[in-house]
Amino acid sequence: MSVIEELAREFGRLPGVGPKTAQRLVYHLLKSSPDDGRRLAGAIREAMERIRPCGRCGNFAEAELCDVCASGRRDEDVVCVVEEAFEVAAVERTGSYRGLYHVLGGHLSPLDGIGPDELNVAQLLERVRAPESRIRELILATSAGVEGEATAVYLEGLFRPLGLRVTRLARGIPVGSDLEYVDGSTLAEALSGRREM
Amino acid sequence: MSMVSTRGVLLRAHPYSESSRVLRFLTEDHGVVGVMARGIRKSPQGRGLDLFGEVALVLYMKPGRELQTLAEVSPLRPRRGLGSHPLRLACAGVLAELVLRHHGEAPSHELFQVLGEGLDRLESVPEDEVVGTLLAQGWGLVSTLGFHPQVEACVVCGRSLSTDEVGRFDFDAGGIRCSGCAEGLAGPRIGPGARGQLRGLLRGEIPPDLMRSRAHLQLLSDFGMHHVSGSRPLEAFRIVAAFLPEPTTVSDA
Repeated sequence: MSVIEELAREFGRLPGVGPKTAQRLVYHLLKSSPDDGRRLAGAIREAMERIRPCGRCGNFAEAELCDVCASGRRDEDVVCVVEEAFEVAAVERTGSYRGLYHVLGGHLSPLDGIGPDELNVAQLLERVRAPESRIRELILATSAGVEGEATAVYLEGLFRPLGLRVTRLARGIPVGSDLEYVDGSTLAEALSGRREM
Repeated sequence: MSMVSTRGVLLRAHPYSESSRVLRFLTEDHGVVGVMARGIRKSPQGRGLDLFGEVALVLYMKPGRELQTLAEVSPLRPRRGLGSHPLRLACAGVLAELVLRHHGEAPSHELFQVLGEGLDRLESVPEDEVVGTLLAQGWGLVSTLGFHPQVEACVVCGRSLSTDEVGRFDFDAGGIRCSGCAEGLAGPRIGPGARGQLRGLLRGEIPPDLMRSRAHLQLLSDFGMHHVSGSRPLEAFRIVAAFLPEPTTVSDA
């Protein structure tokens, strides 16, 4: 296999990159200056060598703790529980959350053999039970499907008896959408989760 | 390539690229069908598409192709209640896994109906009946797949088992061996009580005094592994066991 083919094959393993796009990326790189290519290779190497799971929450981290855990300016009373590390970035983009995070590493998925032991639940228990812990609330931000819902129910059963406030992200009509075009189950969720004005 | 409309139950969903999913349905008219749903993760159509839910599907189908193309999907029966407890989810996973592992591409209206009925019951029964319901529906499902176990008479000599006889389950032969033919067999012991409960489960009834549910689950799991999944362990059974309220002894099923 030629070097070009090998590079195209590696690009083709990335999500959303098909064989043609992979080839275009390779040709684009080859037309660029050698320094551009070296910079890209260096950035990939550095990311793979330096980024690891945060020792406390499981988020992406360049040191022992991620930026959020190491910040010292976050609200340590609240922990938002997400399934994957990239979802931390999604919540951070809202700019309206100042608490900490915990990354489960997935959700309950019986067909994939993923039960409670395969998720980072024991680590969350450890965080909550630590003598220095100030955690008072868990926000369960697992996905809205049946697997995410069952995961949230499982976590609620585990953590509510410890005296924590356990909340779930609200679900309903997307901002800016017409009621007429909202699907039945989303509308049903929105109705059952309605709030006082 | 032809366009077909059918009902389907979503058994599995994998993300594919940034916005698509690979879905696996048990359809009413075409057996198990793999589907590429392009853009579904970002589309409003994807919001009503939940695991174990029943949907109306419009597919572009080409015989021999591994993945068919999704044209339209609309939810008919979401079954979101299966997410109300992890045990319900795990039990639904067992039924789905049995269907998927069987790899049956031949359409079976009966299988579609039995799976749907099983998922409906798992969604609605009281929490303390979930495992019994799984056992009844699970045995019903493997029977529908063509593997009904023989529990009334010995699978080797054909003699009717007496009311107080203790036999052993022979997975290869697909049923219970009488005490005379069971010598040296390593399969689980089946006493009269367990045999009676198994008979009830095979009729779709949950025995009111169902005992040793872990042992019953193990029997169904081993039977399914032996006959349905080609000796590959069924993952969902392990997850069910993780959510059972309290462990009981596994001996003397």
